[in-house]
Amino acid sequence: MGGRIATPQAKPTESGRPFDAYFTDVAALAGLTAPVIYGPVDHKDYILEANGCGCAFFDYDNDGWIDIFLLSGTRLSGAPPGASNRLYKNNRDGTFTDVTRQAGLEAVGWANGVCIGDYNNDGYEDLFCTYYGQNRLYRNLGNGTFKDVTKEAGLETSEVRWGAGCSFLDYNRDGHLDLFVSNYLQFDFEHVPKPGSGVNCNWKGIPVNCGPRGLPFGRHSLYRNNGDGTFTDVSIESGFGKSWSNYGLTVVAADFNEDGWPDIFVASDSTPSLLFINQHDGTFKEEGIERGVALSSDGMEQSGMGVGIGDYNLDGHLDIFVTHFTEDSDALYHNDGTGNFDDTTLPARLGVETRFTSWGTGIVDLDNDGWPDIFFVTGSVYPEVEKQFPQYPDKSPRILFRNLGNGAFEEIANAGPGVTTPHSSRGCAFGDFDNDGDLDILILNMNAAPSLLRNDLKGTHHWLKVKLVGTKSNRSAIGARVLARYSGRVQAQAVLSQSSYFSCNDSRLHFGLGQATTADLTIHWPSGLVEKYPGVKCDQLITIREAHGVIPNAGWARS
Amino acid sequence: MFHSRCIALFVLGAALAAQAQPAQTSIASIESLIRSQHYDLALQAALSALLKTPNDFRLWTLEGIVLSIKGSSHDAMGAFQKALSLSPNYPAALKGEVQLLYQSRDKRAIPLLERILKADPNDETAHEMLANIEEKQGNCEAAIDHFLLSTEAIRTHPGSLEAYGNCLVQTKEPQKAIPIFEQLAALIPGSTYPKYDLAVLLVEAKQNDAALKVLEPLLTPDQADPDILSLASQAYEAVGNTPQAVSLLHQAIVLNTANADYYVAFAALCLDHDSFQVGIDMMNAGLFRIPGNPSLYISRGLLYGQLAEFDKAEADFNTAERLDGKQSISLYAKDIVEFQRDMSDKTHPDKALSISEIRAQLRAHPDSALLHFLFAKLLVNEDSDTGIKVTDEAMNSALLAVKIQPDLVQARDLLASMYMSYGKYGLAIEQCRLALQYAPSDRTALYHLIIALRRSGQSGERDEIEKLVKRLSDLQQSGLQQETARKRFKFVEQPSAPVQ
Repeated sequence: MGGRIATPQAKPTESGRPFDAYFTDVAALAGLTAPVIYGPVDHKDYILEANGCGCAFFDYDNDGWIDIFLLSGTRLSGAPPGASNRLYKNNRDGTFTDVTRQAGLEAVGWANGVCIGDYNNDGYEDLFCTYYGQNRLYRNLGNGTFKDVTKEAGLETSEVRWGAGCSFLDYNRDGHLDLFVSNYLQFDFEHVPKPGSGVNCNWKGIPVNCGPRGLPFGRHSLYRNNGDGTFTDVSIESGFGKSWSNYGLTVVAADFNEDGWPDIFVASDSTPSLLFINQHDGTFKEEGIERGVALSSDGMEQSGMGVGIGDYNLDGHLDIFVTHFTEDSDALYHNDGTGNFDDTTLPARLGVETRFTSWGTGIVDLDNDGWPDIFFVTGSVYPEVEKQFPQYPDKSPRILFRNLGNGAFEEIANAGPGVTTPHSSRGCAFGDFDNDGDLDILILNMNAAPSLLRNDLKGTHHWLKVKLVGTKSNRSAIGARVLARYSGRVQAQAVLSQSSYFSCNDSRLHFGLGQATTADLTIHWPSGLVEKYPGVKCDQLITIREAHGVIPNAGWARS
Repeated sequence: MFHSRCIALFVLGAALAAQAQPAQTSIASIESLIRSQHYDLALQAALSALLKTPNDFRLWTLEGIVLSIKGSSHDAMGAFQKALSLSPNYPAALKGEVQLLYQSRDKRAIPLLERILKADPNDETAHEMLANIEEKQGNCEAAIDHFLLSTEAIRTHPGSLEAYGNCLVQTKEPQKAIPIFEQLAALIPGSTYPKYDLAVLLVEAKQNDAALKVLEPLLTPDQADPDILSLASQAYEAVGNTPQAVSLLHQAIVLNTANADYYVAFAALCLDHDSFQVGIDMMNAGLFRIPGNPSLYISRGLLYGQLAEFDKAEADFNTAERLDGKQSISLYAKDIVEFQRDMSDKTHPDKALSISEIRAQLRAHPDSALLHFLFAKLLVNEDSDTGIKVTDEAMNSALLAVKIQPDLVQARDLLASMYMSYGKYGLAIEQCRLALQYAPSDRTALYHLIIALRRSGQSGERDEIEKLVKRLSDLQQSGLQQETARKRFKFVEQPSAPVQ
């Protein structure tokens, strides 16, 4: 990590416009008190201990209230008691109950990413978790429990790999969710140098954990869903067999060039990010550089960690925001609708913030004004450095940029203590856990309890949530692209299996509508079907079943 | 270099060549007396003969030669001038007067030498003399022309070789200077300065192994010239031998603790090896020895900037500027850090100040390509901040920068970026290609070229884009390898500071 140093833009004069969202960390009140263990607290001897993991908002029991899944790491000295991934059931009253054990999800290890999708189309969302070691596929049995089906699904590997990002996607449009996994790098404790002992083991003159530079690259994998609960590794025939000289992290699958087929974006650390374009014949072609989304605007590799997907300028196309290392600017790439991107970081005034290493992120409308904002969490990978250089703190605040609606963003410093209180965070997920019509934020903190930022949104803005259920398409509708037209504008969103940093958002797409009271929806289903729903009323969740229309919401209730 | 005896013979030879004239007997006898080194008798004979034939330019010339040999330069000059007043192109008199003027590289010799060369364009000695006088006058281009026509003559003349080499360096032809300094070093092997000059050129030409071959024999334990040690340090660092580079630079600093250049070189090493605190400590030691040195403040400011201690960095740059406001470099450094810092409490007036500072610098240095480039960059950044398109002023400034310095690839990269923001992909492509001509490894130009080609929609560029992507990937890989090699060493402070 690290390398490129960008000169921050000067901060412009504040707009003076009020920002209605206000975030309070209610994790403790909600019962989310168990710390996420991930390596030592005050130093990191290995990069494995530093990268952390992701989290998810997902409705595992289909009750219409999103639940919480948090990954966890361990320690080389031995996992402390209680170190495990955790599933928290939403009690529908602002609190959660830890149901990890009864759900069969207790697991200790170096977990990294989580992606969600109903891979067997049985109506219940399944879980896939990446690990340093053996990745795990958990089938949701529909009765509140999960079963580790990694082996029977054909996903067990004989070699130790560092599974990082992952995403379910239906790359061949057969209605069954396939699986893409990025592998960060080749790592083994025997051969990785100790802090300060190798070429890439110093930062600012301080001995730190080594890598990723200098460590061998990983290879990414694509697994085809055979439709019978098993997967086949098709990495080689699909074009992923070679090493891409790449340290891949978060994976997002979406139809960036709007040809009806899902593409794959891999945020990449210290190497060019990758954009694999679906060739419609079971293969992919990597075109990240020429499509303008692999590098900084000056052609340099950055330290891609997290990925936000959204339509910041309301032109109906999916843009990409990538978080990076401290002293470098995060990057916003504007999609022209053909899968060609312009780096608009500076015109968007996002270059003002380069102080922190940034991780989980989203292009999400936090104040429901109809213009998606940008939020990301931060935290150092070198906690030992702050002892000598306090200007590089281990814990740092969350960053929120509000969308000014003119192509530019403005950093908001007063969106509540949930944003300003420093943490060393990694994954984060966006969703409406209290079903009150705004987006809340779940954040995974290193060696600390998670944060649950409740959005106490003021104002009179309207909103609309859209839940999709596939029929010919995969049941999770992963890969669907929804266009919402309101107030003369059009906003694109997509159903994603992973984004942010190794995390998964609430699958109910949330559109802030500003003062608009209706929206016209166009749904591009993964199957190729395009459906239109004009004049959908605001301030509600609608569930749409592919080729069947609007159906009753499952268990939905307003708080 | 030119000994008077040599030149006397050269002049006398010219006189002998003109013997088919009256009064041949007295002339022959005078020449004979000169050859036998009876100069007083020769002078008496010349004076006697002149009483009889006062308008015989040959006699005046012989008198001048004798006086010249006897060291009466002023009288000799008068005699030669009298001869030339009687016969303006008489070679012996011309050469006699030239010889006298040449002693002090007097520019009055130039028209005389030109007259000699008009009569004999292949006269290498005249070319050599003319070259040396032109060099003395600072006319290196003219000097080089004449050195080129006197290669045989200068081969054994260290002064001429040195002047020739210096002129080649001054006219930005260092590669051509290298063999000249090699000749010079071989001609006077016991002398150190030609080796040092040669090594400087080799290091600048990135021929560091060759430079070390020249320098290593000089790196004896008793070497007391810190410049040699510092230069060798630079070469060792370039070939990856950082420990030796640090050791030699340390010796240089110990030998001359009052030379800021060595501390600055040490700061550069620390910046390259991410050893910022070590560098800061060394700059503190330097400032203890040479307080008030602006270069040390600039170096320390840059090191502070790398540690995000922007307040300290800015304070150092301000101090440097206060100490020496003419240093454009301090402005440049300040620009770098000013944009690195979090300016959360700053708004446009500060930036306007930066722009006004550069405007002032541009008034003082209108031919500075770097300043024009920085100005354009600042304007573009400001345009980004305000959300407006780049201004004509930014574009013009960048264009001026590349006009003044065509190989300033950063300015070309900026131009390409500006053109792309306007959708002028053809012009962007042109700038990228020009940048790559000057710097084939310029990854920014390569990346912009890929994007501009793709966006231009021109058919047939598909193959080129694929090749360019491959080239960019290769450069990225080699860049990583170079960085890895560069970072092999980091500096650790010893318990006792070396310089205090």
